[in-house]
Amino acid sequence: MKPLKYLSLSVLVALAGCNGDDGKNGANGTNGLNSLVKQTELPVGDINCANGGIQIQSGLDSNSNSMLDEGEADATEYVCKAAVTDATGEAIVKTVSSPWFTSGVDSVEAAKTQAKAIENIRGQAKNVILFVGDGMGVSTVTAARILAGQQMGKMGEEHELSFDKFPFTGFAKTYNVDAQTPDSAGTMTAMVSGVKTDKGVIGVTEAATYDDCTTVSGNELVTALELAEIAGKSTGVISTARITHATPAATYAKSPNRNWEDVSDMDAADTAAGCEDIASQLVNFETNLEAKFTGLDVDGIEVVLGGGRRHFLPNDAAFNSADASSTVEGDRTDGRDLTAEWQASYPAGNYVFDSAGFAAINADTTQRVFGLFNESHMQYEADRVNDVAGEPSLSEMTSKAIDILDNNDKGFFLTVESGRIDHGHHAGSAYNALTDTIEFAKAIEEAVKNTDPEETLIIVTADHSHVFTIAGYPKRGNPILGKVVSVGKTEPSLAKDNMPYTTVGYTNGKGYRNLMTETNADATYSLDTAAGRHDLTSVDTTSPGFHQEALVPRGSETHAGEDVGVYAMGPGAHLITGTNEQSLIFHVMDYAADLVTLADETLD
Amino acid sequence: MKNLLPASLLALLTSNVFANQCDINQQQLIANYQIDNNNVSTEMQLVRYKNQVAHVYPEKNITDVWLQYRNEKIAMNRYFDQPKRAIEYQPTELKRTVNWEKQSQLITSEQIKEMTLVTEMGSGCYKQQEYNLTKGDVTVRLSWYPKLKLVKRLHVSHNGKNKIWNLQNIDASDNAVHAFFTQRYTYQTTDYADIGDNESDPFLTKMINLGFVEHKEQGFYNTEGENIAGGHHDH
Repeated sequence: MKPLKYLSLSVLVALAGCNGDDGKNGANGTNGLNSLVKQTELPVGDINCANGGIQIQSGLDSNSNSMLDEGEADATEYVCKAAVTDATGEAIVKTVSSPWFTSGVDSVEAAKTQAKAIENIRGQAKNVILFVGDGMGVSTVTAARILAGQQMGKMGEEHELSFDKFPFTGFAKTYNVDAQTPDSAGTMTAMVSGVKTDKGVIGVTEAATYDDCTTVSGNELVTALELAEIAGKSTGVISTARITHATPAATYAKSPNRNWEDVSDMDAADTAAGCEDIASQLVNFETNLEAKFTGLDVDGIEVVLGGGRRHFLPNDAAFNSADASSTVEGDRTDGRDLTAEWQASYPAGNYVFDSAGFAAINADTTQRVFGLFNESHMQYEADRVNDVAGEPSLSEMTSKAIDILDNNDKGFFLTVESGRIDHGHHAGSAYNALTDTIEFAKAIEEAVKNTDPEETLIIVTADHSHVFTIAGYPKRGNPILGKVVSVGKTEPSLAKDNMPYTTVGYTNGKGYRNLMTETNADATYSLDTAAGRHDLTSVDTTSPGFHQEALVPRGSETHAGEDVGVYAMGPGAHLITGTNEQSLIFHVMDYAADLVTLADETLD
Repeated sequence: MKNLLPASLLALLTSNVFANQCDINQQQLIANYQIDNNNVSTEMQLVRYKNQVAHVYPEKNITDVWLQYRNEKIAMNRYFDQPKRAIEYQPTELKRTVNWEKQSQLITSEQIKEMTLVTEMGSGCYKQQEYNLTKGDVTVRLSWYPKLKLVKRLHVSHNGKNKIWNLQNIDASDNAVHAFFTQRYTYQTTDYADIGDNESDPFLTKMINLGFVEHKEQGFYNTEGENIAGGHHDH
């Protein structure tokens, strides 16, 4: 505070005399009091002068101490500084020159440009690609982003996954009609059919009863893939799970039970009642679709890539693939070899089962490919090198699929699922869940690179979330899979129980595992449930085999019920905004590609 | 005739040749054991068939079948005999590698090498070797059929506790071994990765705390999902 300035004025009062003789001088009177004025500088934020200024007090120095004390001021005035009217000058240089600030300015400009470019015209999308990260909730996206950045040597938080850069984002409410926390079957049905339905059913409405074949007929839904097929587009389905698993199955099959992956999973009564297993429906897709619509002639799904070979082969060792792991690879009890049936239906098509076969596919000349790369699910990305005969990655499958599908002048519809993020979370392994998410992001990047953004709608979302959390107060750049180390510290923080804790964790599940370099998350089920707190002091929590602590002991971690993100680019992407029912996704795809209209035109 | 061996020598050589022969295929057999663990008796069946080895625990109605893949990875299927259900596990990574010999023979070649061969007896399939080992406070006595690669008797003492495996009988008939596996191939199987998505399945709901075999036997669960750990054969 600057020194007070004092102004002191003495007022002399001269008494004027009268004309006449001066009389005798009277006695001296008492001295008058000095008036004082006191100025005090006010800082920015002062209650009277928000931008600062000067407070001026005046009054009589009643105690003659030459200071205007409290109680002596009888008048106070303020002279305030004017408010800043320009965002220029020294006052805000620090703000506007910050990289965060300039980045924000650039983002607003980009958003404005994006908004101006929006065309509300139906049917602008020639191609549609729906990417589904099974179990990829928002916390999974955030953690995977950080891990991907840290793997590149960055601090991590500022990194962007491929779909982080998409211009339009919204939320989807994932609940099933009968379940607050959903499963993949009901959720994917909602996304590709535009109709929410029950948990555990595929391609049928809520009027169907789970596991009851007799309730299917009349309750079948039509999917975006089927509409695209009718419209003459090329179609494809890819998954790192079994291709008969719930998420990919919802694009092409109708079943009251997601587990009817082949005939051996069904009761005799169900087959007698006319229900067809999911694997058979995949191979018979063309026939089944044509049977639904009089006069329809389609050419079937051009690209099918995933796992689940056992559901397509008979339960007979004679039908084992060259890379079979099991003594008897196939599960089918009806003697049918669906891979042979597919080949017979499509003589020019390519059936492949290993990485060599996949690599040999010439996308320019191949009309159709059916790839089954594992007896059951494909490997986690972190384990892929351990596969017996080798498997292509999700990004490799996506890239080749697009190369094949875009040979059609009418465009294509493709769904791509990263099916094992979900499995990694169920096993309580953040490592496997996040590394699969990173590979998922790479697959999306391949789609962005290999398609024309003017005519391709790409939507990225999840079917549901998991009880996976990012917690504590770790410092910037702290290893996302590591223990919490606070800002300014080098040693892990300790909880009230005097033990360190990881940044990521699970609310429920089998809990703590230290499997060192184990990278198959399913191995966690080998140990007794170990929920709750454990001393991680000497544990490398960033190792692939570490499974985070869980609060509630269960044999398997669960899905979560909160909203999931929906990320979109391309024609119609601007409709992905706000918080919506998950079934909106179908309607956005339909609007963008005008699927129903095109299909109707074909049927007419 | 001057080129023929003397009959006595011929007889001796012939008997030695036959003595070393074994007409039991050690890669395809059923071996029944009684296990005495500190005076508590249980049974275990060891079944071998090509690239599979099964351990059957009759009291618990559980059969573990270990499968060795072409790339040396080992998978495991656990069969629950009463509900006729099975859980399939994918191969685990090397840090948790299951020792195939241990599963197949109950004792590894390395462990046998550590022991001292005391005597040999018998012939053919039932040629028997006796081994001893004392290491710290652990004493091991092994009776071993080298042709069959089977433990005849294994006695492990440690701090006053004793565990004994006694081979009761062997069945190497094709029918028995084939029937053993054929029966279990009919069980409904579920990938362990799929359990998280199938909690509506009553069997899987019960098995939600399913155990598994780690580097030593532990964590066995019955069909109620209760831990029934016991009958270990770690040594």
